[in-house]
Amino acid sequence: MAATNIGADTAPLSDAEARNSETVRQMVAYLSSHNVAGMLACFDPEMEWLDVPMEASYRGHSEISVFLDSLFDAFPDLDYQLTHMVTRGDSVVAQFRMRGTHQNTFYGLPATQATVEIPCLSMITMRNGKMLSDHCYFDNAMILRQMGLMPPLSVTLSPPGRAFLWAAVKGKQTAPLLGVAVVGWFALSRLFRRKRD
Amino acid sequence: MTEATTSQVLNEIELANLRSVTDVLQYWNRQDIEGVLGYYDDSIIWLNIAMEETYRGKGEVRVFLRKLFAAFPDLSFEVTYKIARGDNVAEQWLIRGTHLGTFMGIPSTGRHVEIPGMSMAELRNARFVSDHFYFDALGVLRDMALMPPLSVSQTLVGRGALGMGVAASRLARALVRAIQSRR
Repeated sequence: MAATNIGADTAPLSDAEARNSETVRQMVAYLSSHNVAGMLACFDPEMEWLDVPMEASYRGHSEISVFLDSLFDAFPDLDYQLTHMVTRGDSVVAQFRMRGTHQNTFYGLPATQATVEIPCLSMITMRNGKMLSDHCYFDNAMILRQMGLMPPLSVTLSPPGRAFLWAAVKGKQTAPLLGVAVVGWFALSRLFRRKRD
Repeated sequence: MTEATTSQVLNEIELANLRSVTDVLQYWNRQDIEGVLGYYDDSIIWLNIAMEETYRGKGEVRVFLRKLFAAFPDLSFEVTYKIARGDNVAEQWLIRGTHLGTFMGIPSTGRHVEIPGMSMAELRNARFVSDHFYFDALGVLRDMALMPPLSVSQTLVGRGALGMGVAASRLARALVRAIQSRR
């Protein structure tokens, strides 16, 4: 799907929509060149950056720039490719491919030196041609798999993987029962031993 | 607000597409697979980003929906925001359900899950031809209580565990590389 894939009968973008999509394109270019000042110039002063999978939200230029510094520090070669974009009124929805090598601690996770490449999607709201909010969607499990911290899906879905998951889930559910059984068996064995004595 | 309101008038195609993505929801919420498939084109390509799976054609989508509804028999699908332009509709959604059957290889946990996600859909003749489906599988695992909450990574013990996990993973990869280079 190309970024310009728009139905033949669609009315052209309004001036405001053209401005909005241009701002987002520019922001992505700054994001890929790690230009924090350039990015902030694309943001409204009340901009909110919401990282949906991390349940983390950054509000205003100062909080966002602290986050961006930590992001570029953790992934010094971080690159974003815009793959598709849809604009309507004050909304822009953009799809990306994000690629970077994890070379420093990020969200408490020490460097894995793994190169991560993930698809992500942003739901962006605009105000006066600047970005007011960006809700980012991606899959954290995919990142952990690429970092070697979670097994690949082929392993998870293989019979041993499924057996492990079954044990993890059912083991947890039956743990109290097993606990009671062990304690009960121990108590009974003590009781009978005492009787024999 | 669940729809982008704009002074610009939507064209016939966009209105029909928005109608379809709204009308299909009643079938999702009744777990009516054939009803849902009625809104899909035969050439549908559904990209399940988090599970790294692609379903081609109604047959493959049917198989996935069967598994999904078996795992979450009370599944509800709520669209919180959507925009339409040309052949595209982008939707922000929330799936809720009780995990009562195997999902992603995980047997039923009986837990309630809430999955926030987004779809980038493309329609032709008001039927889905493509759907890119984004959600966070790690969040689903947290809801199933198979992963600790994110706040754990901020604690000393959590950081220690993460450090050990990373060290073990790097050691394992170094070993694999060493074995491969000896061959």
